[in-house]
Amino acid sequence: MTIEEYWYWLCTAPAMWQGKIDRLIKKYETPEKIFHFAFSEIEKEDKLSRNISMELNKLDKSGISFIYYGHKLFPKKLYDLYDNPYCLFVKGNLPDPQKPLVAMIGARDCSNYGKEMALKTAEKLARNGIQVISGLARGIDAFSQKGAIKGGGSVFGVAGCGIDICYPRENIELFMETIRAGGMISEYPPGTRPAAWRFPHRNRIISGLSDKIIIMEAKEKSGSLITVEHALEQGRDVFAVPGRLTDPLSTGCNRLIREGAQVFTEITDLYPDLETKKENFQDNKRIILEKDFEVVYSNVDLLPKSIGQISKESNFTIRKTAEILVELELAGIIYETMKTYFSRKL
Amino acid sequence: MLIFCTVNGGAISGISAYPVSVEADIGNGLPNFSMVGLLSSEVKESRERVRAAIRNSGFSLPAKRITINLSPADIRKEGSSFDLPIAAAILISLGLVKSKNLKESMLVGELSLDGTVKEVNGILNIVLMAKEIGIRRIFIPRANAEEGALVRDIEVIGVSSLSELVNNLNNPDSVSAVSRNQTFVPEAIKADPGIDLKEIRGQEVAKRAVEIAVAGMHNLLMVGPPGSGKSLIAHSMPTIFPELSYEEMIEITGIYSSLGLLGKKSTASSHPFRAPHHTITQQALVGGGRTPRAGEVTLAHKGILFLDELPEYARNVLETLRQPMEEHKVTINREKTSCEFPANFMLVAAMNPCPCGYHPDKSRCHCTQYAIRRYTDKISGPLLGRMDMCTYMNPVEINMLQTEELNEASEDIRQRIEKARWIQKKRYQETENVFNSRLRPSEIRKFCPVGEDVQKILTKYVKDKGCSARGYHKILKIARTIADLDGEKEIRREHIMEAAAYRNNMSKETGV
Repeated sequence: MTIEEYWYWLCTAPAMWQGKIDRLIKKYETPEKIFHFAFSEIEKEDKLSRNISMELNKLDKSGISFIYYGHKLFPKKLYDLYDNPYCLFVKGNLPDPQKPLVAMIGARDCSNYGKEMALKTAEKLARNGIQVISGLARGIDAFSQKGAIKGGGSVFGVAGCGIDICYPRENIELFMETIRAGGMISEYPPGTRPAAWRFPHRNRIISGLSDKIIIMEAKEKSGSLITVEHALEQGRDVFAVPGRLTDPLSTGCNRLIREGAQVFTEITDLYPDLETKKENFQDNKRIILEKDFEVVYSNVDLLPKSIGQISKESNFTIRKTAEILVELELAGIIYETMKTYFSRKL
Repeated sequence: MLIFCTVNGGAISGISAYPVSVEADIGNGLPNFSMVGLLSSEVKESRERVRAAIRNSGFSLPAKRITINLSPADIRKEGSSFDLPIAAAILISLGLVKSKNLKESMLVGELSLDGTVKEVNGILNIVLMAKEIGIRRIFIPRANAEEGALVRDIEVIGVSSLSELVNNLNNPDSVSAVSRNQTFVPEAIKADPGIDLKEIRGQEVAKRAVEIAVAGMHNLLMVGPPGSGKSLIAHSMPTIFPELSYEEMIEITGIYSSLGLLGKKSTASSHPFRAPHHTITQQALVGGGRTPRAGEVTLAHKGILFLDELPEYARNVLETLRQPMEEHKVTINREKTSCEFPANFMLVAAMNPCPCGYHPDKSRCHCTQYAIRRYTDKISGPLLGRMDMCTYMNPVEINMLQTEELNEASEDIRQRIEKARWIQKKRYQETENVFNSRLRPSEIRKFCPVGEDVQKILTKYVKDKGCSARGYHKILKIARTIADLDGEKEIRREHIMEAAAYRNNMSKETGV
């Protein structure tokens, strides 16, 4: 058996988990020795009944590469982790270690503001050749990956289940696009079902692979803060997107800033020597509007507002406001977040 | 002198009336009183009531063999309206009552044991049917006389007892028909006031949506957190409906009368507003039962069917709404009968955006995306697709509630709607349709012409938004109504824009 086969056998053995591998490696040093000498820890039947090389072949055919600890492609950064994974299953490619890689994380049920910021930030990063990594979850994760794909950059996702399962299911399209534009990565053997504890666990890989992480939106108690802890342990730069004090989805971010995280205002904050056009997030209106349109537009915000509220603020009738809003929507500078509610587009 | 005689009677099946001829034969043989003609038990019991009523009215039944036949014999007879014709037929057969003009008369009513005539359901439809088959005089219970007299060109005579009927039949000249002012006066039966829209503060967007929806009978979906006034707005909608026309009043009264829902009133006074609770069953909503009975959709005919908390209704119940919403009638088939009920209603539905009700306010809503999705998925796509308009409502701030400033009154809005309805009626006089929302795709081309540049902008909008053909037609129909409210002949750009703002596109969105 080859080293790859030994590693594959060890990582996919039934009832195997991180801590157990840690202990076995400590005791026996290599998976080969574990295979031959660890009688008490591992059931004998498993070794004899499985055809490892055929399983690896099958994996290869379905386009999944198996990268084990010590493999020439195994990301260097992951060796430094104290609880490093021993193998990675990859569909597509692994991030290019020569290029910068930014992790973008945040709440699943994000606000409109978070959504717009994630889309725009990821797009800008991608345009500047910076790789983006996230977790393919709902909300910020998905929007970050979408934005990066739109910007034409490399984008990576770290799954919390087997690489052959797309979770959440509605992200299947994004899942496929991510594989095309970069790669999906998982430390769990194919076929592993999603479980709640695996998601925070895989977060250490997201932060571990990246140089810097941006936290887009987080509530007071958020899973994203676990990633931040990992990142701090691993010595990564942490950036947080500031939000309004009244906004519950920004409390986590604002607290991080108070505790010393860096404030994210534009992408040159991340890479000061990046030669990019200085553009901020505030105004992206490309056309000059008529006077009435201007008044209505100025009252549309990133927080969705109802037609009624906009009409009150701009002092037009409901009818006129509704008409102008649809015109603005048609011009592509605002959009309807839900029926009769409108928001600016970044 | 014993003769055979036939008397006209009538009864209700579902909501429509049918004629029944009551034949009586009295002959020699063992004394007996038998009734035939596929009778339900309440009609069979009629024998006892008639016997007692005749005796207590001062006549005596001879010891003869009495046979009553209700024809046609293959329709199952139900209801209590046969007592009076049966009693009359017996009395005529006995020669106690003159049998003049019997062919041109009809009798309907229930008898009590002392000979009093009691009211029956569905009088209006029976009188209408009688007029149609050429009856000239109809005797009905006094309590129903007002309702029956709504029908023009037929002599309606109210009787309160069997002896009065005998008197009337014997002296036809002394009888006077119920005199009702034959011109129908809408003011006389003004609707109950309801909640005036001027009393509702804020929610201007929803109010405008309601105005457009009522003007063109577009179905409306209101989404919003608890306490945002969805139900309030819905309950105020009857106040902006136009007055009933004579024809509408007759139609609605007929339905309610057949089901015995008129109560003390003799006529329907306003467009119906039906708000069934969400535990309603399929049968109660669209109609059903062994002998089909009309459901809520029929009761909401020419009016509003309001479904509050839409996702709480059982899914199979909501699905049954699809046919009536498409065809504006319900057909119910049973082993022996097939009934068709009208159901030309406007559906107004209200729902919360998520299980807790506060989405997208993240400070209060903790529903997961999945929970929200599951909640809105309770309503099927096809049903959502049939909702023309949609509006999202947020609670009004407290300072809005405290202002003294009054809003536009329902009366003003109603006048605009009446005007728009009148324009529609005139435009569609050659088709059977009356409202913009009922336009068929082929008619949209004809009745909703748009200028070239407007067409261009509409095409762009439809493409950008990925609208379906149905969505495209929806915008045009709503825009047509807005133009009618403005009194404009042609649909202009701003009408399209406003229509697009209220167009329901929930069916294709994920979540709300």
